[in-house]
Amino acid sequence: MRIAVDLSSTTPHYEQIRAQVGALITAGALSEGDRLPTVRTLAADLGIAAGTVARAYRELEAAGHVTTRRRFGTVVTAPTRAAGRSQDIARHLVATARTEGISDSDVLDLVRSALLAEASAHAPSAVLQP
Amino acid sequence: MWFDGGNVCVSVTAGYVCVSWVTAVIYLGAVALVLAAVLGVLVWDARRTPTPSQAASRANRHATLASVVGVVVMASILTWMIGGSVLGVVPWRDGRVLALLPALAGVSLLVAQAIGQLTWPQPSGVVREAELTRRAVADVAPAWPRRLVFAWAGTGVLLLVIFGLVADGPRTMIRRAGQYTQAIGPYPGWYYGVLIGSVMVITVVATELVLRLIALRPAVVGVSAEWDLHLRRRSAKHVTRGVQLVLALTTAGVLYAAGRVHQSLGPWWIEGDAGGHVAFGSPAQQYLGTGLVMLAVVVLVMGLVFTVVPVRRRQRNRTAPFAVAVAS
Repeated sequence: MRIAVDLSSTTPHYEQIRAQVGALITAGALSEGDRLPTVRTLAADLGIAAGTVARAYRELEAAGHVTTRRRFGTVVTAPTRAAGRSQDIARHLVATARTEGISDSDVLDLVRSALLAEASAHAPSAVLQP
Repeated sequence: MWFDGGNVCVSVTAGYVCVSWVTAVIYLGAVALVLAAVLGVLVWDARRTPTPSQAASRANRHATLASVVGVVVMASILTWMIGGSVLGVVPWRDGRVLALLPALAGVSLLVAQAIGQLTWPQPSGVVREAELTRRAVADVAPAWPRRLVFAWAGTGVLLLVIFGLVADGPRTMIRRAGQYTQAIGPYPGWYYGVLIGSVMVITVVATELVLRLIALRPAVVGVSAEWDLHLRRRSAKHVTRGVQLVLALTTAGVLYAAGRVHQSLGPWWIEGDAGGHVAFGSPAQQYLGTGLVMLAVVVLVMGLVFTVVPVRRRQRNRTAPFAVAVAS
């Protein structure tokens, strides 16, 4: 199970780590009780500052995905989400995007735009019409 | 060093010592043989490691260099110490220097490995990858050589405490013959014990720190986690085996020194005032001394055997080292 950090990306490094570890937990690749590498180990392997990894772990902890305990380190706490309809649809979306030759970043843009559209639909009209 | 007829002379603190040509050649030949054997094993061990990428080759060379430098310096100090003691060309007057030489050899091995791990090539490139698996000292350090490090150090410190309590002086035992007494040494009392014990403890702590460095160093780029783990285990193996050897040597030295003194406290006779001989000393002391000397030999042999005997590591739910090695 590997994660990658793209140093040239505009996405902050800690966010890249947080997103990938979060995705692995959601997908069930990391299950409850699994221990993550220490901050120093992961930072050394990625060749980035330990503070960056520590921030990613803090964000994951704030989201309830992991917990950090003395002696045990960082442990996955969030139970793997049961494969529901949303997950099936997400997989279907990815499969469809692959067959249509849409890149991963474009798929993410599609999802983000759908989220934005959904948020706009529920936002107060005063905000939409300044 | 200079040549005097059929002898080779060496300057020492107390003047100079000359040994015959034959002795010098045997000594230097033995040193060269030991160093060549050590180098040969290390290089052979490095070459049989398949390197799936250029980064892997570089990492293999880096790890081998650290081990070679450390082990060669360690072997040089040990052969110098053993050869110097046997030939009587020791340049030191204080026995504590001799007692600390094995630990010094171990520390030189640890320093070389520590430098090797601290100067490990850092990950480069725009996209960095890392395995999301936890890595601890227990994963890289071989179990029983690591236990031996603790066992030899614990035994050594325990013996030094016992001998320190038993000793009649800081570094002597007293032989009594009626109203006459004679101090016999060197005995590993507090004069030697505090220093040797402290250095043994420091060596164990330093070993654990270096093993931690080996576990924490950056992973090799473009190879499988198993390949990277194999390289870490190789470095950890060299560290633990080398350190257990020097600690075994130190413990054996302590046992031998104490054993020789206890042997001297065995039965002996002096001429009485009215003629004839009067016996002093205890046969038990002689038996104890002989037992300690024999134990010293056993510890020495065990230390040497555990350094060279190959060990089959128990698989801990991991794949074989090179089964899934991948090129970058």
